[in-house]
Amino acid sequence: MVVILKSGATTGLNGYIVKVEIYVSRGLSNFLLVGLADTAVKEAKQRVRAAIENCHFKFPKGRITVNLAPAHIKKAGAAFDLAIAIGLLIASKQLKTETVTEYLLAGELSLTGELRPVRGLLPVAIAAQKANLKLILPVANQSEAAALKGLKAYAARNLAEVAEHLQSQTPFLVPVKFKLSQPKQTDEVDFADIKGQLQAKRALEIAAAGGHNVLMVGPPGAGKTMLARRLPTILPPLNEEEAIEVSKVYSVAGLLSHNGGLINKRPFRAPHHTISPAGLVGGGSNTRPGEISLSHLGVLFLDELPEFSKNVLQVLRQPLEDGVVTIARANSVQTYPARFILVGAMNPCPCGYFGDEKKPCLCPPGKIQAYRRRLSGPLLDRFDIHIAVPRLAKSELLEDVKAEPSSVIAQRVLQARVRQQKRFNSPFGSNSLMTPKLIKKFCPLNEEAKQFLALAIEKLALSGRAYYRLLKVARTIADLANRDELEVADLAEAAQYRAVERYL
Amino acid sequence: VSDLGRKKTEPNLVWLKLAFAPHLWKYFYKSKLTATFLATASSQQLQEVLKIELKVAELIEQQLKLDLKAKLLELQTKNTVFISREHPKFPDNLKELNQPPLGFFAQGNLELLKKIKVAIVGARKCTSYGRQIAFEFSQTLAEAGVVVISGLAVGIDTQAHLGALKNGTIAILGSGFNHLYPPINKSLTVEIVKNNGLLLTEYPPSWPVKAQHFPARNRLIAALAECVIIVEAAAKSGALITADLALELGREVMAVPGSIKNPFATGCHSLIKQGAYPLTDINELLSMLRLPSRVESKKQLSEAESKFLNCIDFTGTPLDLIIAKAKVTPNEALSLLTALELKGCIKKEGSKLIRVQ
Repeated sequence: MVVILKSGATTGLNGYIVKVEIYVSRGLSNFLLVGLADTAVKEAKQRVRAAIENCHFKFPKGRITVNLAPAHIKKAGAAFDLAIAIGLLIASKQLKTETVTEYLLAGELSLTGELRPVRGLLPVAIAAQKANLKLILPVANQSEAAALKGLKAYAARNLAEVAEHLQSQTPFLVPVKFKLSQPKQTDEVDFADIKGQLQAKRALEIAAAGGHNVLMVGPPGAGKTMLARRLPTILPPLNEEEAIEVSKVYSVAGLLSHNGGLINKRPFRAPHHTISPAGLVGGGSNTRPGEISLSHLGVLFLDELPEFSKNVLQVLRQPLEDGVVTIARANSVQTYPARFILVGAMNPCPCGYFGDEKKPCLCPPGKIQAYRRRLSGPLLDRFDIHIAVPRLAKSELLEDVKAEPSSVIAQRVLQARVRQQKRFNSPFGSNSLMTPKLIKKFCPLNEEAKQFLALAIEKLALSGRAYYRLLKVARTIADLANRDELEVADLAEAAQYRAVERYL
Repeated sequence: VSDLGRKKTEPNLVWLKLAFAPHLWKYFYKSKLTATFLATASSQQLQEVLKIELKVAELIEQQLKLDLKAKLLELQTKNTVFISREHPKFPDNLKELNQPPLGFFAQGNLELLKKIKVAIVGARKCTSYGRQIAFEFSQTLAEAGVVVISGLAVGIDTQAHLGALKNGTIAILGSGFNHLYPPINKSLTVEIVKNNGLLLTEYPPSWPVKAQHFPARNRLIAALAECVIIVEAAAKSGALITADLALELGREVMAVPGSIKNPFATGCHSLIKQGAYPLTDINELLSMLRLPSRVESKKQLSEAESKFLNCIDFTGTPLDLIIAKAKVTPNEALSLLTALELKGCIKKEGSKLIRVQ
């Protein structure tokens, strides 16, 4: 008799159902596992044997064949353990159940029969929901199932509980309750913490509103990291759909905390500059999402931008344009989402003090040029906003200035985003993604503005490339002010966000 | 030995041959032998007469043994001309030097050499104040019809060329045309030639850049100009060499004073102490050159702009402080900044904004 059960796996961020076929025939004791399984799956043999015996069942004798279908997709991870173990119990008639075809089983077994959490469960749970299957999953993963409305899920602690549940007429396990996790009301950080740096704050507000990438240039200790960390606090909160999308990435990466529920805050990722290309965009032999996907719908902060290796910066360019990253390897092609605001930070020169008031810069001129040349023109082009972030001036006058809290800024940002969603007729529409054609359509200039722009480009040594970027940023500035018309003041302000071209 | 000896009607070619052998130059200056002799001498002759090692003599012989026709053709294809010290277009100014060059290679408009020339030089390391002054002085001089000479280095030199770019400027290099230095200014050299300017060097096209070329190059700058302006120079700067050479030649030397706290201005201040003219207004130089002075027109400012401008110091104010003083929102402040920048009232330097007017 062949026993067929269902389990699940992921490719990219999508879950799919894997059929686990088990056949026990007479012959010398043998355990064969087929269906393009990787090492972790193959090791299931040892775990399943120990788990079955330690839960006071008997491991069946004879020739055991386990097939994971579809056979052409490479399978990784230990999530099939539970289905294999239950299948073996059914095949050896130690477990009598008719309901098992209604379930999708996922979980890793320990040698004692405990169920351990698996990564990528959220997409699998979504697949189960679509296929109208009930889900049995490890207790540690239950918050992922709790986020899905209408999914029948049961969390189990060990193999014996699952067996009991499948055998009994009335459900033995308690179903997981649907619970939409509430975003935490307070962030640990807030823009009100920073006094001064008014231009940088304003630039980040514009970036948040229009989805523009920002490059901050300033000496060490100016507060670049501090500013970047606060950018997620002024982004609109994630809606339910977005929260699930972000959580899927973290689930597949195995980074979802086991009792925290879904991710409901905009992610902020700040990888170190020694990161490899695979670490940034994703990859590895068992493909995993990289930092750009982990910052999906949030902020990716790259401190010391010129210190990143050239390869790493090059692979960043395509996802910045497309909002997704496709990782093609010999045995798989995976696509992960990667729609994020990129915040880069760099020193103005290798020693860091070029243009600083107190400390002299010790770099020879050639070194400064070489340092800046590490950012290729095309990459620099992806930043709509460049700002200089000087070290804070100390003054009594500044003590009195009240810093705006993030919540107030966030309201203006939200309002500007709603305008853009209406304009582009898409939930992801943003000014930063405008093509030159759209810019012409949505950034009409009156005579005065045209003259001003021509003068500014000539006098302020702005490049031709800067032209469209300036208009995009000006569009966002007008959106923040809730205006359809672009005014000269908007363009004049936008001209202040070209620091790299103008002052360096 | 070659047909050069017979073609005495073309002395330019003899000089060209020597110009391609820079190793020979110092012996030429010392020995007072004729150019024709040196150009045709064998290595043994050179060794005997100049009392040098055989190795050096052979090296020189090799440099002299060149295919002149091919070289001339090469120069022609690259629009380069060679002006020997006996050529009618060789400027008299250069002949005042102790050791005038044997000739020079040039690209661009040679007519500039006939006009009034002023050199604006300074250090590579400089402040934005220095860069601004270099640009403005250079622009005013160029618009008044003076040709600005400089050395194409980064920093002050580059700004001097940029200021005078549209009216034609002369850049004197310390290397051959195939080895432009610094490489970052390659595009600037193209612009200079395109805008009727002139590039000039003593060294043959394939001659690489060496540190000792720069003092030699500076002597050409000092000799060619009627007046040398030092804009910013630290205590030990190459620009001071140019100033010394200019003094020896009896050229007018002027220095632009800077802040006494600015380490990049100490060279200028010591020049002033030694008697250099402290140049604070470019019109003073124009009147010395008997040229009409330029008057800057007053700027029209709106009420908000002038109020905002009053919150900015001439020594520089950080943006945060300006916003606090002027009591405006950051977005208003930023657009006012652009407006004032366009009107030339303020400049950005490092972390501060500086009022210019």
